[in-house]
Amino acid sequence: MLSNILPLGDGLWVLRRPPIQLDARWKTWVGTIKSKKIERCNLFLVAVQASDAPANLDGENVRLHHRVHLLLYGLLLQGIPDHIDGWVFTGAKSSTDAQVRSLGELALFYHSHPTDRVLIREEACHIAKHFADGYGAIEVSRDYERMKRGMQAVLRGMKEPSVEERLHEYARALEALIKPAIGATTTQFVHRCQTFAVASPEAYQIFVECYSIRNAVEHMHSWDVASLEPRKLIERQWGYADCGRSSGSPSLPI
Amino acid sequence: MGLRRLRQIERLAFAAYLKLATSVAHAALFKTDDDIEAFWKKKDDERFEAWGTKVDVTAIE
Repeated sequence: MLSNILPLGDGLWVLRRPPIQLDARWKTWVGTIKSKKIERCNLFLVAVQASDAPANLDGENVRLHHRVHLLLYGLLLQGIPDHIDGWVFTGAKSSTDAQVRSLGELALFYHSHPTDRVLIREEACHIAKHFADGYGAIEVSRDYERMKRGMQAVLRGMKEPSVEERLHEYARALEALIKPAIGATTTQFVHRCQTFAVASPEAYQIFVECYSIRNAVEHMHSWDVASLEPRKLIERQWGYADCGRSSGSPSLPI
Repeated sequence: MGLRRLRQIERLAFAAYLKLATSVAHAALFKTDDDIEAFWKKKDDERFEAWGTKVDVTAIE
């Protein structure tokens, strides 16, 4: 259960009610339909800091905008809820009032039809804060190049409406870490994924299929072509297609 | 089948990047290309120990 006000530290907060009320002028600007949608929102991620120049829409706003997105990504990595329709506000609060300086629509993030409903709990918010801090440090580092490229693939995947394109991006994100050698990409992808995942013949087949779909998308083939590839590959390697399900099947390399 | 495969690879990718960003020790394994090569050159049991908890993708429906 998420409390109404959850401070995460370092100026990050998760709220269940809006931190400010849109005044009549802003409601006119954004329109009646959108302002009603905003009023119906039930989760607010907030990043604040003391400002040197509260009257300006400047680099502080950009940094806070990015920081609140890192918090969001930390939440989404724990499961993408079935409906996200959000807005991003920046602004300043003086001793007398709060002023909205910019308003934009949040990017669309696509879930993959999880079998269980994704609920945002306090523990998930704390993990997300941990992610925001950790990935924020990685981003500004001169190292971690493959990890940063992989994370960009994750974010592209989250924003990708097409199922096969999304799978392609997530496979590429893992590939960034796996760094398969040219000429051994499928073998090493399948083998090395089983460092991150519990190894088994079924897991082996899952990764063969995923990598084949990734290849099909990469090379502009259709999903149907991709779904045929694993069977061919397994047949070629093991002499039968139903790997791991037949009794007495050979143990598969991990 | 396709959506299940998507959920499986999604969970694995999300878990990997969440672990890397929230664990300095794990992130260090992937800091440079040389670090990455060294990680994958480890023996399976050493690599599994270094990575720690794994995702059971077969349990994801």
